[in-house]
Amino acid sequence: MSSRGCNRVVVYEPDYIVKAGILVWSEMVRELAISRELIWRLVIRDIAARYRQSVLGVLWAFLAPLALTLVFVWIKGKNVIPIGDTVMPYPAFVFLGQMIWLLFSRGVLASTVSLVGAGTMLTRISFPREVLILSATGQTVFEFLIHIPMLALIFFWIGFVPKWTILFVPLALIPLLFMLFGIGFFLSVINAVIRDIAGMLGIVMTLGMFATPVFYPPPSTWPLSFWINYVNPISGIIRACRDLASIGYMTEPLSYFSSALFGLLAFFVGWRIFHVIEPKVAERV
Amino acid sequence: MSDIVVKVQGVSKRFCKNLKRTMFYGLQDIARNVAGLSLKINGLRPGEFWSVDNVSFDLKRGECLGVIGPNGAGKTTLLSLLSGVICPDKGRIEIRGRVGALIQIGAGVHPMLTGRENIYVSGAILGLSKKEIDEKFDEIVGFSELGDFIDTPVKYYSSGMYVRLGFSIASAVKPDILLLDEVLAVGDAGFRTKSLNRVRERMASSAVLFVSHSMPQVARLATKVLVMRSGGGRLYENPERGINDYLETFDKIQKIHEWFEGSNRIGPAQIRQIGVSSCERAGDVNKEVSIEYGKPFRISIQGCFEADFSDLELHIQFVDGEANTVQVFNSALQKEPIRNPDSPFRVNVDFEKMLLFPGKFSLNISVMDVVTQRILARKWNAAPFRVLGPSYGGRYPRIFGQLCVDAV
Repeated sequence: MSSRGCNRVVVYEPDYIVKAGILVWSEMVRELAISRELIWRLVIRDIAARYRQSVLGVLWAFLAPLALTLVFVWIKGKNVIPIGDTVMPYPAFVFLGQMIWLLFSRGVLASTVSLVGAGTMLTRISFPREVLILSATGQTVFEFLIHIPMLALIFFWIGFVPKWTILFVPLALIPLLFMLFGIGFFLSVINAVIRDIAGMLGIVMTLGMFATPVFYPPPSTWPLSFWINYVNPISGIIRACRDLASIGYMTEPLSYFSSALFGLLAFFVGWRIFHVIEPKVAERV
Repeated sequence: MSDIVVKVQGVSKRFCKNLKRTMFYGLQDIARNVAGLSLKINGLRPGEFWSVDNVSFDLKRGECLGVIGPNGAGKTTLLSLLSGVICPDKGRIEIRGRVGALIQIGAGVHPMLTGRENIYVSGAILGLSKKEIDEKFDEIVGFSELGDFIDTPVKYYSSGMYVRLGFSIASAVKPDILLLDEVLAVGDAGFRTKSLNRVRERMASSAVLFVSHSMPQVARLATKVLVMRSGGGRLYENPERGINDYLETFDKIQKIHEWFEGSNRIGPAQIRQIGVSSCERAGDVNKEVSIEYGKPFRISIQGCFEADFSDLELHIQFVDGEANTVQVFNSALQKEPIRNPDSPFRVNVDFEKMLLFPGKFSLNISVMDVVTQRILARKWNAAPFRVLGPSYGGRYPRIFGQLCVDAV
């Protein structure tokens, strides 16, 4: 529906989605490709604006996970909650888990509110709305990248040398990104209609951190906790990343690849739903 | 190149007034879309209304369409449909070329960033690539005349500076179609002239469509006019006719010409009755007076004075449908002042030719004391009358002159 920078005839008429059918996908990809500069520009804008007026600046990005890591290390030390053996030394274990979990949870939260927070951009300017979702997650990706030096510092502090396969971790996280986008697409349009979703999501994400092996190793016995963890798509990815960092190979490749598949599926389904629903929602936001 | 760049055919858009119903209808439409069913739209569901109702027009490069109408007529919705923000429910829009929209100046601009950084943000949102922005950067900064302020955060800008920056960025593009939504009326006088000139420049190579409430502006820029009323649109190839049609709306609704009617004793004199009549036949007091262009007419004023003033001056202002003064008569131009009669009097002013453009007018009358220049009596918007005649030459009074062609 966008007519940016091209010398062709653009036609606006009702039912274009129904009429175009499968061709809508090529249109969606084309629009997004044209808008990559805009996405980048918005990401830079949000990051620059966020850290401009603060004294600590970028340091804020890893204050939260660092604090939580210290809390969990202390809890484990005092044996308040029995936490089993971990593949990596515990501080690194928790911090890496946190990094990945925060990438997911903050990313989903940011995308969910991105549509309702866009204001006049949404109601007056024509551009592919996916840009808002993608640029909202851009900031969480940036924060993830900031955490990497911190992780390296922790490795150095505890004297842990990771295997060279840790370089595969960013690659392994790509399906997580897709999952993040897909869920973000879906929830952003729902939130535009039912505004409680953002609030509910906050609670779900807080609980989710306990349902995912972020600060404890995946349970191997069969009760309810095992099933929750098994079904949770993020746990497969976190486990795989930790394995790559410490052991050198994935202990449960099936778990990872099914999560990856779920991520890709979520992306395409979420994107399609977004593209169909978004015009109707944006009029009424 | 005079190709058609915008083609609008029978376009309609409906909205719902009720919040909950809006969501429900949205879900209905989504379900139909997902199921692959076409949205057969014939009428309105309960609670809905046509925001744009069966509007059609064509626009070629070099043409300028002025969209005018009362508030809430659907003008901004029409612009949103043309820029691709919303999709029409009925009809078809064809756009050939790049669209530049000055619809929301400063959308996407972040107050914490400097003007310089925001040029890149705003430019990207409007569809410019980084290369294009780099090329036009100096031109944008120069046009906005912000100077050193370009490096301060936008939140410290005054609203005028904000608008200057926004307009400079948005008008740096050379689109094939330019859409403007009431953005030419902002900034100081110098900037307004600059922005008007820039739009004129763009008109040479693009089609322009603008929404305005300022009839002088529409008269100056538009080559065609679309008058919108409650969603429907009527196209006028002659801008003046369109403007008159628009002003008639307010006559019917609000009767501008009846402002400040009534008693107006601000001074020791009182004007009782004012009448305008064509010299050809006596005017009926109750009917609307019509005077033909170029024909003689008379204004008669009846009043009375209480105190003793010797010399009086009479000012008559001819006021148009937008309460702009278009012509003035001042009795001080005559050689002799008016002597004050002591009893109720009538003043007749005879004019040789009616020089005003076709439309509806009224009079502002004031009587002044020559010596002290004190206003003794005043009446606003009195004696509405209509001028009939051919509409050429725009909304300006016209003067007669003798034409003579010689061989040189």
